[in-house]
Amino acid sequence: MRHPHRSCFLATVFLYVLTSLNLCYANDLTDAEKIEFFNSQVKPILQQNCFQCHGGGDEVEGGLQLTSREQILEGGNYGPAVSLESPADSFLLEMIGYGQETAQMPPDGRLDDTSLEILAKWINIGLPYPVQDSDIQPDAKPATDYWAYRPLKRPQVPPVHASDWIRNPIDAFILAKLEAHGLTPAAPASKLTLIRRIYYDLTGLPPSPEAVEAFLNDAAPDAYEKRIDKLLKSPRYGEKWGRHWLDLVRYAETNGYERDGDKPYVWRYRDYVINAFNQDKPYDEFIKEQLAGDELDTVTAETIIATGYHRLGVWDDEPADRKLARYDYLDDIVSTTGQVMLGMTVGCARCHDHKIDPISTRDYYSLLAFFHDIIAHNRGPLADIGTPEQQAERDRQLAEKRLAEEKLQDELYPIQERIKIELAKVHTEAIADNIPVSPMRELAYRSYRETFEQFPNDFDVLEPASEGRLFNNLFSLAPASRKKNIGLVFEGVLQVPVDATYTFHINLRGACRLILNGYQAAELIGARDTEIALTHGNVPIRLEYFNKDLDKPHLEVSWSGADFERQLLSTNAKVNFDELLKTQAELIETNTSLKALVDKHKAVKKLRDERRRQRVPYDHRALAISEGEQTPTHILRRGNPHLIGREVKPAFPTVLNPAAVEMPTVPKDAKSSGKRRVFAEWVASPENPLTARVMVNRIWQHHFGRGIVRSTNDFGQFGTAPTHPELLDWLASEFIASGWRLKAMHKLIMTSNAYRMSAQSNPKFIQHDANNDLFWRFNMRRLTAEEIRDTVLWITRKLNLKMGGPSIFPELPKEVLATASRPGHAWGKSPPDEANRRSVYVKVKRSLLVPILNQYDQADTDSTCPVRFATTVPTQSLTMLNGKFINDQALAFANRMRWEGGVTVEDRVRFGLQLVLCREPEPTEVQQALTFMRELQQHEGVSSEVALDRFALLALNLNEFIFLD
Amino acid sequence: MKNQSKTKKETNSQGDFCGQTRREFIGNIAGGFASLALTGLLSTDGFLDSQAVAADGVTPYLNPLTPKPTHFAPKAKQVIFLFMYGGPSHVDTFDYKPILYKLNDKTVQVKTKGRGGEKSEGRIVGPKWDFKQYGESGQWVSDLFPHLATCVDDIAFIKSMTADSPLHGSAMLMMNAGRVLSGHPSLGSWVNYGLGSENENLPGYVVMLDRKGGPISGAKNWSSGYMPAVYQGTVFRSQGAPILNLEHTSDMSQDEQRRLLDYLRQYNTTHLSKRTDNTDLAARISSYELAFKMQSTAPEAVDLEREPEHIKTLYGIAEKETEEFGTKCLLARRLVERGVRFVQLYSGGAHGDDNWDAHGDIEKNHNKHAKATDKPIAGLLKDLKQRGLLDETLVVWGGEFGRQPTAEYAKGTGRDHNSYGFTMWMAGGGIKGGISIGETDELGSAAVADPFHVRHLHATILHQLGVDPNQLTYFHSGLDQKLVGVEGAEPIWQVMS
Repeated sequence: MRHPHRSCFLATVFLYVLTSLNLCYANDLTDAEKIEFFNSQVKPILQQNCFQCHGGGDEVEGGLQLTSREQILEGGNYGPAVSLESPADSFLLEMIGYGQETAQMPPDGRLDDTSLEILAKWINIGLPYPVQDSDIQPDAKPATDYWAYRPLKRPQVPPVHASDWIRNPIDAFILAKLEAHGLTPAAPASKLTLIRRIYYDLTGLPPSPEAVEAFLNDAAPDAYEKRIDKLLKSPRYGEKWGRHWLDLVRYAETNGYERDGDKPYVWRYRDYVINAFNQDKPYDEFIKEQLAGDELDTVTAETIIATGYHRLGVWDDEPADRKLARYDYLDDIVSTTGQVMLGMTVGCARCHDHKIDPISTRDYYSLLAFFHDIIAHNRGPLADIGTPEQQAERDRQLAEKRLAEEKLQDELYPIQERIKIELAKVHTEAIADNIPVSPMRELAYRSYRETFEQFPNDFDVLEPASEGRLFNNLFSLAPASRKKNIGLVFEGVLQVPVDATYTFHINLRGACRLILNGYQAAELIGARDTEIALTHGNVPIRLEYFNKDLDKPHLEVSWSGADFERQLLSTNAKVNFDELLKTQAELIETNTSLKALVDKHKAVKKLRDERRRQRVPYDHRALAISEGEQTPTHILRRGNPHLIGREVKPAFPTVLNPAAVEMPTVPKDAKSSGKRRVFAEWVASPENPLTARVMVNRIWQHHFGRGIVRSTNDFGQFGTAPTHPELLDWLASEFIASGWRLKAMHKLIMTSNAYRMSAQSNPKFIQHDANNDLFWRFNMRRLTAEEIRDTVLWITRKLNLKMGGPSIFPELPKEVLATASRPGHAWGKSPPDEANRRSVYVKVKRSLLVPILNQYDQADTDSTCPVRFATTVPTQSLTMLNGKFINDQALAFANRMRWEGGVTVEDRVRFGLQLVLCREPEPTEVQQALTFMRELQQHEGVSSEVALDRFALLALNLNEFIFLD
Repeated sequence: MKNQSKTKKETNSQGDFCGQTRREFIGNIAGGFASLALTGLLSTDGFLDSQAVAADGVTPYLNPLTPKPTHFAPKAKQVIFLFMYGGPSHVDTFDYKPILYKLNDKTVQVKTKGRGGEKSEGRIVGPKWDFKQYGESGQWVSDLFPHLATCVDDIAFIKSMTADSPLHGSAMLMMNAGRVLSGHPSLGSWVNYGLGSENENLPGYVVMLDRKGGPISGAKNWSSGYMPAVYQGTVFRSQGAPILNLEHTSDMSQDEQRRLLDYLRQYNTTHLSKRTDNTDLAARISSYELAFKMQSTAPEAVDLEREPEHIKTLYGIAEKETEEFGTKCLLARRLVERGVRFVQLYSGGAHGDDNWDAHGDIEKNHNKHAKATDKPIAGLLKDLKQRGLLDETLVVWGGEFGRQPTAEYAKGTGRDHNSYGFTMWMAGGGIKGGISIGETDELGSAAVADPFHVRHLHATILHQLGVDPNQLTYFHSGLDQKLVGVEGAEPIWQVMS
């Protein structure tokens, strides 16, 4: 960083220093004296004014440490603070001199002149600094002592008294804490509670009455484990747990902003995530594929799709400041990655050093450097992920389509020319406009479409693709229906005015032969003038044109004679034929033969246009990323892309004591630098202290309702401390030992007694630990937005379990559509059975939200969502009482009760309650329903059928339906 | 010196960690300050007790819409934001630039930036309307607003507004949520988050759109961003049932529904009896009662049949051109009367000339939209005043930016966007009337005297509501976020009475 006025300003400061101080100290002072000078004069100034921010503590502003000579010379974000070669140019002097508005230190007032002199002298005598100065070392704990940054070590499983409660080590960690506080774990939950709990936790759907009954009747000791295994194998598992990941990566299918344009094929990323969970893809691989799927040893369609991770965020296609927008985009990736994969709020260090965590602006930009050369969003590629067979099939279809189009074009052209000729008979000037008068007559063409290897010697033995007369009697490439692999033969007569020698000027791309009077006058490629003697009168003329593989064929022929200048024999003029038909419409209407021709033309043209519009379907594409030119990354002062600071190389956050980044050597033709792979491997390494901790904490969170660290995206000091740090570390160690397999962790957690506790309260314990910090019971939870919608559809048997593919559009109320700026174009339409697929497949459009999902707190799509809200507001109740979706479903539910519930109303009600509550209803509950329905009939005059419909609606509104014990 | 330094840092980084965080804010509420809290059905019904935690997993999430104490005595209790979507031209409305008439059709050197990119010269389009001075204070108003001109002594014009973007997408987000980046809560969400709602039977934050369609980016303009959905704007319609799903289905009578709710409550109460410590269950039971009440209170709030004819006439409801916006203005008054905290009305919707985005023909466009809003807005100001409501209701007028003094194309009178300088006005709610502050240059191309940013406007709105804009924070992504940005912003003190 260099300031424009710097030299001028420094001159003043330095002059001042020169006049007030003796310049000979460097030679005059011994080493001991220099140290003494530092200790007595310099150090107090630094301590009083500088160390608070540059003293090596957690807060190191601008990356500048003033706590050692090396660090001062190394400097901060904006370069070395001191120059020994040219002391007067030292950045430090400029800062403390207050010459620049944007670079003034200390920030709260200029130092007094004496202090300025002392610091200038200190630099001039060579910046003496004692090596070991304990006063200077900050007393803050080294950051590696912080629990989250400590290397992961598997803790000892603690001893407990009530050891018979221990089913696996998780229980020991939980129980040890409870015992320390004099609490005991809640009683085990009933089998009924458990079956509903595990179904929802693993699949987001309830168990069927049959599944409940089977589980209740299964007395085998491993009945519970078997159910967990079964659910983990269910494809519904990936749909449920994939959604947790989609929340984190702010998955959405449009860009936001004015146009809120679609992100093409982004759903493949959603399917990738769901499949990854279903296949139990190791988490380290999962991370590597998303961050660097294009840079791995084995790149597959799947790993390319995974890199769609980088394209999920908001994107403004017309930002006010493009440079800033680019860094906003990169920041979105760095911030999201930091929080999601590392539990670090690195984004806070974009403009200034992190206020509390030891993350500097330099760390931030060093992280950003890994992503710096990702190709800009608007030019970002859609990767072709088709197999060679799929690509070949597409090419074949394209060729087929092209040929069909050409054939129709071949039919079309001669008709056009005939129409012109017919028109000209009646009304010459209307079409002769702008076309040179030709000296040729009766000019006809034959067009050949073949894969010629060379100029055919005898076109006449070949079958032309089309033939016809040329209205304007000029050579032209227009009759050919394509550019390459064409042959054209023109034949007619040339009207030669007098006996003389004429020059034919030919200029072309391709090859041609000119034959006059049956004799070949020229055969050529390129440009040539040919002289030939002709007798006056009608001379037969023939031109053969051939082009094997030129993209831009061209033909230009003219002639000149003794008494006339060059006259064109060819034309490139394009006649607007449609326009011609329009202007001559009246004439055409009155002329039967013309009319017939025009009708034929219209019919063929329609066919051709239809062909042309037909798209060859090729969906083997993915929203992916690639890297462009390698450019240096700079620190940006205050996050402003127009204030460029020092260059940084890709590096990991220093607080984690990482190894130095070693950049791979990549082959010259490599598409990317491999930077992201280096980063990905560091993140996905067992040595990374955060990655495993952060992920097991999320797994725990979605089983127990909260993480062991409640702030699951922030393991820094703004976050919450773990309630069970040893358990967290133990689980993280297990996770890595299991090969980063999530399903093993689910099984481990769900088979613990801790997970199987009841949610039942205990008046004494609730006094002691209302927040359940100690996990003395299980936490109840409300179903998520997706679980509510999916379960309603499941209950009515309408839920379509089809997986994957482009997203679906459930019907939206017109009132909601009216909020879009283009109400008619904002939302698609899916057939009813498609619209009833699981919520994870519902279109995620940033500017238009599906009310039932939005109201029940679906994840915000603009930034990473680690914890869903669970709000309760009256508008939810309005939706669940009056909304079209719920009322349609209530009717379907009532019908299901009629068809499947039995003959009597009582049986039907019992069946309905069973579906909604996942248990056999109490007789009183059934009675209550019957009373309700009877009252409706007696007092409100509704039929017994309608009464059941009303009961169905009531049942879908029950608290027990929407809350899990 | 060290101590001084510390103090300064704290001031600079309010909301980062030294300032009052959301946690402390909540803590304070829990610990006291009850004096300002209005006890309503919210508390008596035990509605919305402690619910889960915020997205950060940290912040205790209490009673999201309970009225909350202000930081200091408020000047305004509610806000009506008249959003002139598309960007009205300031030099054709309130920012009188006599030289423009003389320079009409002349090409001049002037730096502009709009959807057509950056330009350094352009052809001046002289204003198409005459300006006159009005009121005792002599404020300039063009002939576009004959009715509003009679209200200028209650209005403070800010003629030096600036914004970060001259493009609709990002500029709309900036005016509504303070940032050009998507994902942040809108002004109305911040107001409801900071102050809660005084009427639990109505939403605290209401948005009324143009019948032509929503603004671009749709729901993002009233989104609660990273805050819970309870703080997002509720779209109210000026025709039919005002809120989505407010009306029970056609074939169910209210008595039937009441009976259904009674039985639902029985089931839910039994369920609750074994789980009495779970306040979410109780909250959900109450929410059904509130929903039932809303079904009658919300239609009452929007029932204009209860308004006398002369009031409807005042808002121009009887006239075709002003019926739509007049209806919305009258609804806005009825809503703020009933304690709705933040009402935003859109003039203009969809795209092109369906809103104030006059790229082609400024005359045609602005005549249409000014005609549609002039009488209704004047009616609103007068009606609020005669009811004594103007004192406590802050009315804000403006678009996402202004327009350039030059033509956008070689021909025609259309003007491109201008975020370098434009006019907004405020009235009521502790605003000093009959003043103009700030200035653009002589062409009206950019703010030159006392420039104010959208952040200052937002700070002013929060300040008038009794909220310190630099203290109102919400913890998200490791930061105590603020509407006015990390660095904070001062209110516009000059407009305050």
